[in-house]
Amino acid sequence: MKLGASMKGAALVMARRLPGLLLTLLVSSIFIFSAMYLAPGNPVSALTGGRQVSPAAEKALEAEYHLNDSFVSQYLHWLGGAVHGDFGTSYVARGQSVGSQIVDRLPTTLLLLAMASLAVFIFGVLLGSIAAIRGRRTESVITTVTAVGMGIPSFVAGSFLISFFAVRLGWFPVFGPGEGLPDQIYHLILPTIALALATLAYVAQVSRVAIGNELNRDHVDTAYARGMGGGWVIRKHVLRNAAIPITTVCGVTIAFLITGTAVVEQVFQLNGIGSLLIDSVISKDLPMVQGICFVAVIAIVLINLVVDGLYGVLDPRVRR
Amino acid sequence: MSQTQTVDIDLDKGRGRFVQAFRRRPSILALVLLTLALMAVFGPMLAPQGTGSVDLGQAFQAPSADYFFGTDSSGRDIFSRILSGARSSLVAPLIVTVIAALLGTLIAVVSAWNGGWIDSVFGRAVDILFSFPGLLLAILACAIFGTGLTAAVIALSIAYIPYIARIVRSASIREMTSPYLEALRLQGFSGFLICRRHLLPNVASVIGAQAAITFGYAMVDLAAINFLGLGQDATSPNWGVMVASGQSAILRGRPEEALFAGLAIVIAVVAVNLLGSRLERDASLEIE
Repeated sequence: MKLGASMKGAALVMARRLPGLLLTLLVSSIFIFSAMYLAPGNPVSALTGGRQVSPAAEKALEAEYHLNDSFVSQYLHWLGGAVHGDFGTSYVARGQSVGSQIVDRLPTTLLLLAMASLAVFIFGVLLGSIAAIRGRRTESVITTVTAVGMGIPSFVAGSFLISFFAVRLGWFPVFGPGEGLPDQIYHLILPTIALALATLAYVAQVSRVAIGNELNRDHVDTAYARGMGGGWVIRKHVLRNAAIPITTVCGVTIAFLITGTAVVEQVFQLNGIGSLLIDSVISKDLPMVQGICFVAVIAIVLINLVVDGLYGVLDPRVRR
Repeated sequence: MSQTQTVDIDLDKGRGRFVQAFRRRPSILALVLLTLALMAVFGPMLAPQGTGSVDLGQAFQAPSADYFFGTDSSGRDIFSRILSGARSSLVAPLIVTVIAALLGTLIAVVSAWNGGWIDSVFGRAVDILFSFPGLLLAILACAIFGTGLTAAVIALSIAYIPYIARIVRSASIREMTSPYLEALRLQGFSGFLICRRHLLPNVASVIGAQAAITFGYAMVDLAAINFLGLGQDATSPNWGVMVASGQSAILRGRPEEALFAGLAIVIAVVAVNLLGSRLERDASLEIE
């Protein structure tokens, strides 16, 4: 595979998908901004969560959000701030800026997401490959296990993991994010399993089917007939082709992992963005909710873009 | 639809022996689903101790003949609360599924039938919605309209439209290429009549399969909303709420409330997922 051609393919597919993704971003941001108008009551009370604020603070809010202008110019002002990381001020967290709160909480969530994505990709594809390549018995065991795994919500898995591995066996800490990278990773092992479990099972099933389909293709038989070794055929003929649908599914599932962090961080009391989102919903801190949702949507759109790029690298047919 | 999202994967091909055996004897799955349905209807009446009265003297009892699953931190019978929580835990996802299936099918059939710009507009809208995870939309709805199940149910009903619409649209387009539909059209029957009498019954199995899968997703999402404290209030019997209220007991080495409620959720979700893949396989056999 020539590097230049793959990069070109990636760029081509990404460029083709960009307008659609920008439209998604536009529609989502309009919707997220409209939240303060959709909420019962006027925008000012929506932004302050119905709390009494001084007339001066109310004036400041009106000026900050340009509430006396037209809806379109209000939205544009908000969007202009948002793309620079300025999501306004939280009236619940005593006038702290939403952006700085999000940045403070980002590292824990990013580490959790990275660990969970890696687990999903590595173990999901591994389990799927083993199921497809090994005999029928292995396949039926893995199929059964993944069918059950897909039905286990993260907070149920998390409760079990805390109860068994943290409380009963004492192998892992119960709560908290830890200090320093090695300790943080150690603290995040159980949350990673809880977050990744259902998605991992899904990716394993998809991989098993994708690899199984490729194994039955004529070119694989031909390769064996040419006397090629099993490992070589699997790598060059089977996995290479199965990688295309697997990558697509992995991209879609990472979007669900991002939302899943909200639940898992609550279970393990991690101070990431997910738990900040839930706390903000409960304390009616709308600017914070808007900021986090916007960041989440941007992350999802970016991941889709990267996956489309990978798709261009993996599948030469889309480069035309 | 865009190129990256049209990769069809038949999850059923080469399924393991266990799942196949399960299929040959559908009675086990049918029994589990029937039990769940009965729990949803009669659960609150069958609960031996109602929703359980608070009796702090009986808190954290281990499972016994009196309390099958033990008692929670307020001394309430966990088994009774799981039975009485079945209704709210199962009916809310059912509402989401029904609304999403109705709207999704409507959008799918209208786009497939008309094609052209209507199809592209709906297709684009469905794509945008698809990239917005259901749980995130539900959380946002709770932030806007206040906590409670109503906002979450409406948000999820909208969020799951694409899951139905996509599959039903492609099934409808496949169906519309069949000669009999063309013949009906040439005879001058109205589009509405053809869709209602011929197209819909022929894609019904696809809708059913997709609806079952949607139920599983909606169940997990709604349980998460309840777990997070954004749905039903903390005192009402509900499986998601019970997993949340059982958290503090886990630390005292009494995980019964969280784990039995969690198990109920897992059993329900796995059962509808298996039903979904069974229906999906039957639907694909029908088309072949």
